Amino acid sequence: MNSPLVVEALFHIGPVPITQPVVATWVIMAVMVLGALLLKRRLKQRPGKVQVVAELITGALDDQIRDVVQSDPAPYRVLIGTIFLFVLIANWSGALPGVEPPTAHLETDAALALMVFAATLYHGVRSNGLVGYLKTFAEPTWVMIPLNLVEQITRTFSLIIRLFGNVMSGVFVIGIMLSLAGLLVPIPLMALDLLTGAVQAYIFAILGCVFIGAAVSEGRDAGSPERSAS
Amino acid sequence: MRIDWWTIGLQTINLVVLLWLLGRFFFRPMAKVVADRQAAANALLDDAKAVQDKAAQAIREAEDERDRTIAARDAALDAARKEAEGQRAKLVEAAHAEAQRQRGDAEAAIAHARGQAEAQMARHANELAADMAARLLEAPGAKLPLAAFLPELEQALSALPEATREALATSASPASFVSARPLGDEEKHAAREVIERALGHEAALAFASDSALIAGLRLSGGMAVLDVNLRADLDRVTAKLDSQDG
Repeated sequence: MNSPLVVEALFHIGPVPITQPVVATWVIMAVMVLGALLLKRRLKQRPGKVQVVAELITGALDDQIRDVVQSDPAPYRVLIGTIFLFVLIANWSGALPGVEPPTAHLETDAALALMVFAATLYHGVRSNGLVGYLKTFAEPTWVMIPLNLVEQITRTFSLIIRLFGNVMSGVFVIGIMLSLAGLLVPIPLMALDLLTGAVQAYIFAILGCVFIGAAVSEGRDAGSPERSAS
Repeated sequence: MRIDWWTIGLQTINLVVLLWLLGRFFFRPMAKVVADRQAAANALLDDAKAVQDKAAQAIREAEDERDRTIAARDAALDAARKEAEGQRAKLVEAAHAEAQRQRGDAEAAIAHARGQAEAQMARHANELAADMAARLLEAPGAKLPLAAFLPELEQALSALPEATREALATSASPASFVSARPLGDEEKHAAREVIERALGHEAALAFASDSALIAGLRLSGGMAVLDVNLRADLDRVTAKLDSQDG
């Protein structure tokens, strides 16, 4: 079994090595975009079963975002929805024979966490302005500036490590069980891995939403009289 | 442990591209179709509300129209009732007047009939009285001499116009001399003498008798009829009484 901390290049495009997570991501992207295109062509005012499921998912996402951010979910819907769906499908792709989930590799999780980090900065600055957003690092006092800066880094790393650890461990456990006990024994663990994958996708999306919501709301709360008084 | 920065970069690019693609082909179309459906539902609700308002307005208008119709019906009924009462009053008044007129006519007819009946009864009474008088006078009348009536005959002949006298009792047109009883020659002669003296010429007479005259005579010829007898007197008295009784 290969080390999960090392990715081998399958081939190179010029100087760029194309690794297995990248190829798996391309396949997942192709499937998702193809499904989106097929669904888009069949969108109707009177929805079919697939459209009902899709609307249920987007509606649930909107409700979650609205609950966390306490505002209109439209500006965050695409980012949070894409992260959730990608992480979910990527985690579940490990159930296919011979496919290793892209999220079982640190690079993919790091890319996801980077997107969340960038989105946090973008929405924080967009909502509060650059100065207003920077001021949030001095809340509640300026002494907290180093800790707040470190928090931005550590929570991003925690996102990476949480997803990576859960998915990679699931892949490893199944691999070890396969090597020890044969074909059918790992099936319960694979089912558990599906559950873990769904939970981790939900946690990653919700945490990303929480971080963005915090960046948006901290400046708003800091500017409000009630918050200042308390 | 080795971090492949190329992979991190490629995965980041992949996720950004996926973000853009899903946003374009999944999330925005989904949001749009939901928003469109919501708008359509709102439009339907608005239309339904408009239709409901329109129906409520129509109901109000129908109720108003019904009220107006009821008011117009009541007014028409009142007018018809008043007109009927007026017509009835006119009819009653006309019937009353007609009844009064018919009553007056009936009373007049009754009075006229009563008068006619009374007059008829009076005529009958007069006739009865005349008959009774005639019966009473039959016996004494038969005893009266003709000479008692001749002066009145002479006076009546003298009162006739000259032409009538000249044309009376001529040989060409003899006069009829009717007495209540058959006359003897002496009485005929005395009568002829009185007549010729009054006429002034010889009289051609045809003597006859009629007991209906009771007593006296009747001389008739040409245009003249001279009744000098009790029957004629009774008839005159009866006619006078009849004229007095109306």
